[in-house]
Amino acid sequence: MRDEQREICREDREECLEALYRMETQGRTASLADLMAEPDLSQRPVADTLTDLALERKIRLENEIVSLTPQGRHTGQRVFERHELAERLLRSLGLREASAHEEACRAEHLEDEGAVRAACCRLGRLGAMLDEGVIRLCDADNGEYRVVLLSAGRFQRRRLEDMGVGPGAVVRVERRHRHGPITVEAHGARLALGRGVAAKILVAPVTQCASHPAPSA
Amino acid sequence: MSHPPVTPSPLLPAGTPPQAKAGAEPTLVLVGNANVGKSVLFNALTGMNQTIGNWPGKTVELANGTFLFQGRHLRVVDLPGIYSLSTYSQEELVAREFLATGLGDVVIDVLDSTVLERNLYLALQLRELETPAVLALNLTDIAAKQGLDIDTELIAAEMGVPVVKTTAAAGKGLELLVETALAHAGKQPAPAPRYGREVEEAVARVQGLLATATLPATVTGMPPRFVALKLLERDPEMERLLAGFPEVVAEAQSIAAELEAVHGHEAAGIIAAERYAVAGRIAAAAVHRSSTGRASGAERLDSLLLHRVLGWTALVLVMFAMFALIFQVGGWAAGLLDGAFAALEEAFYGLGLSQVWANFLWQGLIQGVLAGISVALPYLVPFYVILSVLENSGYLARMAFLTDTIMHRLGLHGKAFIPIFLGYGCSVPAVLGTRIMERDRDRLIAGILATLVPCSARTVVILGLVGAFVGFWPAVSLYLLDLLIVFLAGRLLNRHLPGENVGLIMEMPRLRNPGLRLSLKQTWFRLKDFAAFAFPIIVAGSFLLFVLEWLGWLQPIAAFLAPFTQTVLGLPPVTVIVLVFGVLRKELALIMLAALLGTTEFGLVLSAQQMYVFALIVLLYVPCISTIAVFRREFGTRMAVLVSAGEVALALALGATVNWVWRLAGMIVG
Ligand SMILES: Nc1nc2c(ncn2[C@@H]2O[C@H](COP(=O)(O)OP(=O)(O)O)[C@@H](O)[C@H]2O)c(=O)[nH]1
Repeated sequence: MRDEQREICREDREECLEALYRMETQGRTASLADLMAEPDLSQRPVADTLTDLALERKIRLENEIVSLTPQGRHTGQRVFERHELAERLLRSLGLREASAHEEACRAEHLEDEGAVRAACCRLGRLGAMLDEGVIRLCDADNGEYRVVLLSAGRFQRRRLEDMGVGPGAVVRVERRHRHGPITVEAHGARLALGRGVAAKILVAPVTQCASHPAPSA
Repeated sequence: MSHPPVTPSPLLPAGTPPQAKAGAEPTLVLVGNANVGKSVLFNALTGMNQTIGNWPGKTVELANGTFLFQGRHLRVVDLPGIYSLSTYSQEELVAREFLATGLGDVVIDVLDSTVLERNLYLALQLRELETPAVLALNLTDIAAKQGLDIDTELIAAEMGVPVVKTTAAAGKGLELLVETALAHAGKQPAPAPRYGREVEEAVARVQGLLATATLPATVTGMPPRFVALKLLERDPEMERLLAGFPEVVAEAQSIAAELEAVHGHEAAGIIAAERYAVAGRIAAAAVHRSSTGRASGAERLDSLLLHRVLGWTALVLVMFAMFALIFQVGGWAAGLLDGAFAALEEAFYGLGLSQVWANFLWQGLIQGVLAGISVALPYLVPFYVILSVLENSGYLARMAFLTDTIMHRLGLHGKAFIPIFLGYGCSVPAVLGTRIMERDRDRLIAGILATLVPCSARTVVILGLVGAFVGFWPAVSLYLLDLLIVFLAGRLLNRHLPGENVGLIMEMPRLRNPGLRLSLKQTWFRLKDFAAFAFPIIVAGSFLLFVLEWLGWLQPIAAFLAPFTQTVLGLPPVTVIVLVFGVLRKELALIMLAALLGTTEFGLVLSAQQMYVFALIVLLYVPCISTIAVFRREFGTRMAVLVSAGEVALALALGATVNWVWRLAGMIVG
């Protein structure tokens, strides 16, 4: 459950994929802790970024190990090559590669073990859900779904819960605009949800809801 | 402006003499989701005895009214439409402050009978406050049309408060509603419905915790169960009220954490789900569908309006019609008013006052008022009427839905489309229109962007100067440049203002007949409100300018700034005076420029470069004084000053850049 904070931006995603690609070419496997220790990813919301990437099917989560899907590998490679080019340019201008600052971040990040463990646990849960057919509401076809998890910031989460789209609620997708907002019916009322909002609502088709019990009433 | 028809309140028996006030008048408080017919109910009760005002320090509209009922004076307050009593938007915060501090005697919760389950969610939260309340099941006519049969007694028994069916639009059931409300005012209602065992256990534990501490008076006035629920939800406002009791808050949080460990969700989410479970149970038991409704005409129309292609076509047509209406009607009325004011001026100078006094009174005071009137009336009246119609018919929500993707690129969501689009007409309604958004952050971004869009007055300058004397494409390039600036400003503000971009989460109200009478009435009261806050600023501004001119300070200022104007911007020194006066009314800028340059053939005295730079500066520098006044009112003095200064700086910097780039290009080419 993450608090009100900045959105995951494209750079976060790209840096993450690049790091994964780099580690893959070096023959290393990557766990969440490994990724958090990467200097490029210090100060970035790694766990949340991985959540987003997993939902976009750019990465796979298996037993705490993060690996790239073909789609993710493609992006990672592209970003990696772009960075290499930039780095070569910078080096030819006489700039040093790693700064002391980055080293500092690295040390700082590894201290917070509890946070790493909590994030690992969350990602593990997410991995299991994805295996069981949980999708983002924005990817859902018309039909009925049960909300499993809101991966949104605090304000958005409260708002969605108040409007009746909290975990456990059943929503019916009525209308979808490609790359745009959707309309759903929840508790008898019709709501419009922006695409970004719908991307943060994880749902399971209603027939499969048995494996994800709602908060008991 | 024609006065809207004055309708006598249906509850006011004709000829009842207003009685002397005996003690304080009982206050009814209207609460409910958006679009449930609260305003209609409020207007039916109060007739013309009402004022629209702001909650102190907040840009939340509160309507206040009085009426006579069976010989008693009653007061009604219409709170903003809300979906919850959490405190994540200003509306919710204001509503909760009002209700929790016991400012009313009895709450009338207005519910949409056709969406009972969702509406009961808020009703359950009101019950947590344990104030005397009545539920008004409104829109019963539509529910009946949909074949819904609602058992009000069952709802009353479950919720612990009386329930009355109403059709506010037809004035039905209101008498019974007010009678019931008065009968229950000040009386302790039955206990509120309970939630699941685990939640109630946690609540009981927190309540026990609260009983051990001596809490501040702001909290002891609220029911302990309500305080406990809010603490479990980690409600920021409640935690703020209890900031002096960190142990209590921490202990409540650990109880919440236990609850969370069992369910795997946040306590706030669990409690919300509990409320929906109760609401769902009550609605399922109380509502019977006697006939399954077919897709109605409204639904078919809705599919069309939300369609990817047809919907957009309709949107463009509606926008075009709206624009045409506002500016046709507005331009026509402004022309009439200007004619009338010219006649008035002549008559005034014919009064035989001494020249100095006549000038002082007319130019210093009266002209400012008249300028205010000729901006406000012609454009604001159609704007308010149309906005109100769009809002009440439910079309506004469809517009927001369609434009959400575009606005998302600016870091905003669909609802921001309306104010920014209105900015092309006039910045004043555009800034006022930002109210349709919930969050301050979104309001501010949309407000700033709306002032950066060229309003019709600035369009006059662009077309009259650049379009007429430089060419069509240079004029178009100014618009494109402006779009780019709006886009960049949107991205920049979105990145640097604190808070996240929440995205669109909006109820789609049913499409319905908007009812023009209500819109006219709302327009009238909003105009009164506008006059009260904008006129003093407009008059003060024009008075200041008059004094400057009268003291003969304008020419020296222009001369003093001449080096800057000439070298940096490449403009003749007199343009400074035009720009200063342009703050008052931008549509006068061209006329003044002509007067100061001594010709309307601008092409003879100004180079293409000068005209382009001048138009660019007019396009971007501070919005006019009326806009500054509404901006100040919506976003505070500090923001108004900051944004005005920022826009002046932006305009001058861009003007200088264009000037120098043009010059350099000229040197290279020449
Ligand atoms: N059919 C019908 N329409 C109603 C009734 N009450 C309100 N309306 C319409 O519902 C719309 C929204 O009402 P309004 O008072 O603006 O809602 P508010 O947002 O709760 O203040 C308006 O178009 C009204 O004309 C009613 O009892 N029956």
